[in-house]
Amino acid sequence: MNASGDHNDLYELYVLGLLEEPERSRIEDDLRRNDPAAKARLRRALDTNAILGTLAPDVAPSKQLRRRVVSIAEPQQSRLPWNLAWIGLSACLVAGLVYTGIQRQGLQGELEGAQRALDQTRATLEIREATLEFLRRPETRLLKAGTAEERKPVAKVFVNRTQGVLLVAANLAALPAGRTYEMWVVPKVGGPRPAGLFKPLADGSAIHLQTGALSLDDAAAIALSVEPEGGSSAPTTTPFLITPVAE
Amino acid sequence: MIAFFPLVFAALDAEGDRDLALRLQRRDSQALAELYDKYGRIAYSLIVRIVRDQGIAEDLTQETFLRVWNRMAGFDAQKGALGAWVLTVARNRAIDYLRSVDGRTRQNAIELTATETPAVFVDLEANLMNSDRARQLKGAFEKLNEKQRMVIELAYFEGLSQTEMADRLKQPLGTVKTWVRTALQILRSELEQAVPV
Repeated sequence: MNASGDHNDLYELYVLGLLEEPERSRIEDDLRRNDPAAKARLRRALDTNAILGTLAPDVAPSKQLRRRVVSIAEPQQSRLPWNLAWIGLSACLVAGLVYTGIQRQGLQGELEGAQRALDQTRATLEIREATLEFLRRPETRLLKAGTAEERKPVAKVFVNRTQGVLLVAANLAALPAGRTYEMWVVPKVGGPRPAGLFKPLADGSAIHLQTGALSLDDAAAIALSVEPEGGSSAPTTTPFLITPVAE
Repeated sequence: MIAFFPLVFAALDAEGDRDLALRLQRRDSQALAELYDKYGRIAYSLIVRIVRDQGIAEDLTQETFLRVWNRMAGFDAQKGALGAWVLTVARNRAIDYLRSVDGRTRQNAIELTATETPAVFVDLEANLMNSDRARQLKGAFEKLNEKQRMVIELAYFEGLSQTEMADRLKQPLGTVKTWVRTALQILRSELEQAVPV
C-alpha cells in the first residue's frame, strides 16, 4: 500500500482527533486543497463515527438531567438567599397538600405542581452545593480578586482543571430588558468559547458556575460581555472584566 | 463488550430535525427540550460508556447540550445532521474529561473542538442512526475479531491514539496499525454495501 492509501484509510481516526503524524498532515493537506474525494471521506468518517456512538449500552438518565438541560435555555439567576425559604415553604406546601389530598381528590393537580416546585428547588440547591464543593476542592485556584472600588464591576474567578469556572461578581450594571451577561473562555488561539449565561441580582452581585473540564493550557482569559437574551455564539459587545488565566 | 443500543429513533426523520434545528436557532426553549428528548438518552449512554460514572456523565451531558445550544448559529439547519453533531459533541466532552483526568498529552492529536464544528456536519445522511447503514455497521462491528473490536473501542470510547494503544496493549505499533486499518476497512465496506454510491 502506498503512502497516499495509508492516510486515506484513516479519516475515522482523524475525525476522532486521534490521528498522528505524518498521516494527519496529509489529510489536512488534502482538505485544504478542497479535494472532493477527501471531503467525501471526511463525511463518510463522520457518518461512521456517529453510528459507532450508538453502540454504547443503553443507560437511562435521571429525570433531573432533563430539567438541568432544559434550564440551559433559561437565564440563570442567583437565588441563594431564597433557597432555604423555598425549601421550607415547598415542604410545608407538599405536606399540607398530602393531608388535604386524602380529603379532596381535586387537589391532586396542585400536589403535583408543588412537587415540581420542590424538585426545582432541589435542583437549585444542587447547583449551590456544587458551587461550594467546587470551592472546597484543593486544586481550585483563584485567578484574580478585583479591587473593591465602589461601583466598578469586580470579579473573583476560580478555575479548576476538571470542574470548570466559578465567577463571583459584584457591582455589575443592571441589564436592560432582553439582555443577559455571558461568560467566555478566551483561548490562546481562536475565538472566545461561550461559558454560560447569567443575570445579576438587584444589588449587582452574581455567582455563575460553568461546570466541565477546562483546558488551562489552552485558556488565555475569562471574560464577560452583555448579550441578547439566549446568549450568543461569539461576543457582540466589548468583553470586560477580562481575567487572565496564568498557571 | 459493547451491547447494541436499542434503536429508539423510530420517530426520527430528517424533516423533523430540520424544523428542530431552525427552532433552536430561534432560541426556542421548547425546542431544546425536544432535542434532549430525542438525543439526550443516547448521548448520556455514550458518555456513561466513556467516563463510567453516571454523575460525571450527567454533568457532561448538560455541557453537551449547552455547547449545542450556544453553537446553533453555526449549524446548517437545511443540510446539517443534528444527531451526528450532538453525538460527536457528547463523545468529545467525555474524551476531553478523560484526558483532563489522566493528564494525557494532546501534542500529537488535533483539538477535539475542531472536529465538532457545526458547519462540518452537512450532507451526511440525516437519518443515519436509524438507517440501513447503521444496521449494517452494527452487524459489521459484531463481525470484527476480538483485537479489531478492541482497537476500535480504545479509539472511540477511550480516545487513545494508535501509539497509546500500542503502549496499553504492549504490542508493536505496526501491529496495532494493522488491526485499526483492517477494522476500519471492514466497517467501511459494510457501509458502502448498504448505500452504494
